[in-house]
Amino acid sequence: MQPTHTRLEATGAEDAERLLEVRKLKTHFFADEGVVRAVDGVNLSLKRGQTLCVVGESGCGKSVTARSILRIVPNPGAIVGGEILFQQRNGDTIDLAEMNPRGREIRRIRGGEISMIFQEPMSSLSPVHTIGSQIMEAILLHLPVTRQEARKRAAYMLDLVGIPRASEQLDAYSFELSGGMRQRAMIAIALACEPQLLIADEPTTALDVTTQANILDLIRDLQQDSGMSVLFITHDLGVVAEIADEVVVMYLGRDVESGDVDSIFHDAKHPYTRALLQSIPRYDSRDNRRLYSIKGAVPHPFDRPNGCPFHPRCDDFIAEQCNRIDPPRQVISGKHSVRCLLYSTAEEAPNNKDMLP
Amino acid sequence: MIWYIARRIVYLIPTLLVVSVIAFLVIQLPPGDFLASLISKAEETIDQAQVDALRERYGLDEPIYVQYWKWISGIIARGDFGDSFEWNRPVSDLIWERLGLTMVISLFTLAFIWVVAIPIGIYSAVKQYTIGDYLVTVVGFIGLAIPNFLLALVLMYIAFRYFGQSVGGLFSPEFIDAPWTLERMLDMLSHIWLPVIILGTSGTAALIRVMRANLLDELSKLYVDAARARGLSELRLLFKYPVRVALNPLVSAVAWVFPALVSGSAITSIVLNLQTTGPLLYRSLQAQDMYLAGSLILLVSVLTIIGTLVSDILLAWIDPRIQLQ
Repeated sequence: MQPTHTRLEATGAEDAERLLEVRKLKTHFFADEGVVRAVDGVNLSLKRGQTLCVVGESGCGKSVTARSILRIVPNPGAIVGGEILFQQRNGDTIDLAEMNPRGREIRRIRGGEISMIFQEPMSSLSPVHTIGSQIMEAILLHLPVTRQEARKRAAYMLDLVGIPRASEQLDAYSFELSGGMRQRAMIAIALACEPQLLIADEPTTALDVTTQANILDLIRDLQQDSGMSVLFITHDLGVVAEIADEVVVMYLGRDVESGDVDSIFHDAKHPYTRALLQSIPRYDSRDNRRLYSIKGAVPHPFDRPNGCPFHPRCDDFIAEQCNRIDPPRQVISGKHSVRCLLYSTAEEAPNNKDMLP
Repeated sequence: MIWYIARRIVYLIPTLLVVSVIAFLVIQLPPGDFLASLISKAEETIDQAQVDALRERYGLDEPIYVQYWKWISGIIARGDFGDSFEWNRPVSDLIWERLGLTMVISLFTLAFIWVVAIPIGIYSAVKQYTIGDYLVTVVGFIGLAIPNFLLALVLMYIAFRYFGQSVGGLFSPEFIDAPWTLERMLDMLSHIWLPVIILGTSGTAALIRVMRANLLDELSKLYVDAARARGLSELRLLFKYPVRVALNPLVSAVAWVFPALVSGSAITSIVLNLQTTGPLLYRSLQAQDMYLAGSLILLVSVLTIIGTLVSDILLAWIDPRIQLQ
């Protein structure tokens, strides 16, 4: 049996803790030029109240993974395989991957049980509607309240996310707010219906550093108060170190390494993870070393390398192995697993063709 | 908002003044005058005394600024647009009913364009690169490419041949010179569809393209995804956010649709025998009937300016991003 499966057949107690379980998710884009395998067999697992960070360079499928969970993958993309198991508030576990993306059921989940905030707060609010009307819209969609109650709750949410003079700002338009305030407003919309899961897709990338820190603190505080889980997508390892309980490192639509935050930062196995960690600039380095960077660039989606997708950029490339064999997931210890031939056990390596996800 | 409108209206005054000067200069530009063209067309020679008498009567010998002053002061003070040389009647007798009919046809055409083009444009954008979209695109380009007067001829033939309707004009023969009554109104409404379709075709085709392009721009914006992630249904989402934003530029298009309908449809109106301002303007320019032509050009310009004002006010009202300062 594959290691993945042993992990899934865990004890019942652990099952109850698990809010989201993504298994072998594949989301492909069917362009005229060919199929882009943006997400190609990703596994994620997120417990209640915890924060899972998904990291990787641009173009690794992080955002598409997040959008797949909410089923808002843009055309011509579609989920072609895998499961997205989500435990609803009523205790039932459902597979989001099987739902009709335009159906009533998924719409109840969106904003109600799972919310999302986006990379650019500048453009994720409507330019011609007030902040208040957009928060109230989310509230009225999911909670059984009147308009007056919704407006009151909207003001409460704006206050909660630290927007000054909240009840006045209800009637403000997005262009009247700063970037940081807009992202706070987005968070207010996302959390207005007390979702179980917040997906944050690089929510601080477009903001300046001070504002970044404020927004991160805000998300962490709100998470502590409400007990919600957070799926945090970022390419900033500094942020990961600060907020993550667990980490998934993605490369070209694959989860190349995953584990708790300590094992990723102190015991990284995959050459890609190690290279990412090495690329963090350090202010305490005395010598005038150049900044480390991973050689090459993420390949064009149509020209995906065979075997391990990272092998052309890998320093530990094993000739005639890495460019042929797609490495299977290997459990290192506990939750820590990696997809790399360097760690595959001798008896598994030769005939792993049928184990490819 | 009220201050904004007031300020815009004050700004209109110098604009109107400049426009009236230009309108007057334009009709003076071609060499010769009404009398010259009258003489050249006359079968028998007109004797010089008669010409001089006419010249005196219409003040054609005076300097151009005096002519302008006489003209514009008459309009402002008494609503007197001068006399038409060719019709030998006051211009104001000639133009008001025609201007009214032109406005009616223009408004109907504008409504037709919007009612047809906006839903089709939305469909075309939402279903981008489907058969329906391609079909709409092809039909739209054909609509743009066919000259209106040709379409007029074809539709007139069809209306006459297969529906037995009296074609041309806005009224049945018995109502042409009748005073305004309910029957005349109904008669006009039963005739107006043909010119409205003909005049609206190219505008509709153009607006479908504009609407499609605007909406495609908006559909890919993040706020649409954000609203979808909130749990909004696709249809409500579509109309509440991207369509709403995509409509803004259409409002500013009101400004130019209006004068285009008033002045640009001369040939079609001649073919359709419509009693609108287009044919009148065309004929007055040919005959160098300067007070009539000048008045029409002035009125079309005024309509354009008013159209711009109306669309600016509408835009300021529906788009909160516009600063009222």
